[in-house]
Amino acid sequence: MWCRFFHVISSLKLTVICLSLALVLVFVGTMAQVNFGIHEVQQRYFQSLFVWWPSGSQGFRIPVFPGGHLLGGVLLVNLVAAHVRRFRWTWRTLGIHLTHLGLIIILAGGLFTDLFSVESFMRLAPGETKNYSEDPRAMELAVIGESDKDLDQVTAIPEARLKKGGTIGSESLPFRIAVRHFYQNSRLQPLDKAGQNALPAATEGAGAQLAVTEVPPAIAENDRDLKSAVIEIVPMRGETAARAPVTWLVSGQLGEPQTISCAGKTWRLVMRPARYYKPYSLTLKKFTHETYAGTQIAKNFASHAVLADPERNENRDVLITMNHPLRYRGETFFQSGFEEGDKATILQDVYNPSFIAPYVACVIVAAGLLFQFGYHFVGFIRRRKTGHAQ
Amino acid sequence: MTFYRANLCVALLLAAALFSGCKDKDAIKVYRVSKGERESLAPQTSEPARGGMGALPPMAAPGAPSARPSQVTGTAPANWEAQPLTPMRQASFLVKGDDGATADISLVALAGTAGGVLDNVNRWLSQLGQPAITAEQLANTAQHVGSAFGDVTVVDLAGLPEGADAAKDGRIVAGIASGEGKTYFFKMRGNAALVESQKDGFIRWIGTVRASESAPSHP
Repeated sequence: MWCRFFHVISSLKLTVICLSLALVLVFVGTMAQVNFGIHEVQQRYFQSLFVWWPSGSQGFRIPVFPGGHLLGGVLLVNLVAAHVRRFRWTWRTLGIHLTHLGLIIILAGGLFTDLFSVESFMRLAPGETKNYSEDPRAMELAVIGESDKDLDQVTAIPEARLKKGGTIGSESLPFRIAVRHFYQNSRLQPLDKAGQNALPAATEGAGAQLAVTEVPPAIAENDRDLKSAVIEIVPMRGETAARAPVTWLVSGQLGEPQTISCAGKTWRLVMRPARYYKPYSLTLKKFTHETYAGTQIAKNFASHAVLADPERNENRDVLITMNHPLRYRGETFFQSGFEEGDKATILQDVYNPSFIAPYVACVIVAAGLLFQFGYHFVGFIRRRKTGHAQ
Repeated sequence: MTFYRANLCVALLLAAALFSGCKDKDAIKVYRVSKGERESLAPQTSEPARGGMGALPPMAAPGAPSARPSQVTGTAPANWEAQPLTPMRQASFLVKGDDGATADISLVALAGTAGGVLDNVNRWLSQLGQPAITAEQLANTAQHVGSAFGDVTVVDLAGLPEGADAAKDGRIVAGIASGEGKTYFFKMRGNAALVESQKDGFIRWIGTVRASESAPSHP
């Protein structure tokens, strides 16, 4: 049975089937961008094991097509298995082996990038210092409480967990958070503007004066969903068990933390872009945005910043420009954008542990092809010379 | 065939390890941050104002359109610059001083008692890295001013949290008024000297703020 399985997994037929399915997946995924937008399509079609139907549903759903991760994974295993099965060491085939090794590295690198890379952004106004970057696509509910005189304790609940609903607990909190409703995309309106039948979104805080409306997910590339949730704070020890449920609206649109009291302490609730903290900080000294004379066409963007890393005793000036990113501690900061009026610079922070894979793979593939063609070319010249001599 | 089987097992184990190490999107993170790090949140908008090379910035620009018109009116000092409103901010201003000094002024209305006066004062003190005070100490230090929303308890708190920028932080002058099931927070926070110079204007402004005509009967 093992033998048969190995033959199937290393067969050329499987390669052709996977490539054909990948072709269909790319076509269907490209067409689906019309309805779902590029980001959603990437998640549903390419960064998943299966394409599910109905899509986006949290309830019952069935897989209808293999997703990008499954196809890429099977292709990778197929390529490795085929290599193991057919490997025979000769100089004549060295180029082919190298080329296949390069392809394996490209496939594995692509999968690693999808699984482990993190993209986020750091917005810095002149003079501002930050030791975290933010993901504008993913939100988190931060519950901030006082830890001691100098520190706040932050419990960050990711959007993916809020989306699942149910009750969320953490050892760091003396209460649980029950998610009453999660809005993938929403609009907030003052109650008096939302119509006569509008109901307050929550019983406490800003939500008591606002109505929340669910709207279709954002599709355009630069649009984003405005996520909101209505949550209930449930004390651990039933101190208010007899009371009516106390609900709060949390949303990135509020822009201000709300304060709750529980177990004799106060906590701040805020829905914000997911944060990635770093052991170092960047301070923006100056942002320059040059244009070609007499036009608005950009010539150069540059962020002059100070990198401070107490752990490594680093404190130095760095310059981040369009084609000269800052690489530090495995992360790369690209000059990505700026705010209108040059009020702030926007740096894209990419953590990709396999960023070197495509470079290495390309060199290996190029070496393999050069060797293979060179080997045959030399053989051809030799045979030609021998023919002439005869 | 043993060689093939061993290789296959290794490949499958690697694949399993790869997928088990995937980013855990559901994991709750708990960590500590310096109190000096203030929440600088601009309200999120669906189409952020930006320029540059096509990347999506993390926040809407400070100049992004306000989420709604103001529901209050008041006579603010001429040097206060009006800022975009958010669903929580009924009024928002920025005042600038010398050497990059700034102070942020806001009016926020919340339903209910919103934690009470003492809890909120102690929360502000903790933001400034100062110890909490008792109800008795609060009664001895607070002053009271009249407003359209009722009696306002005004406190003046000073302290610079570790790591904070003295040009933008160091003092809070804030007032709390409760009435009709709501709590109103008038707050000015910023550079200590600048807040001191603006304190009188801030207290006068509190007295002038009232619900605008388009607002509901109790804002």
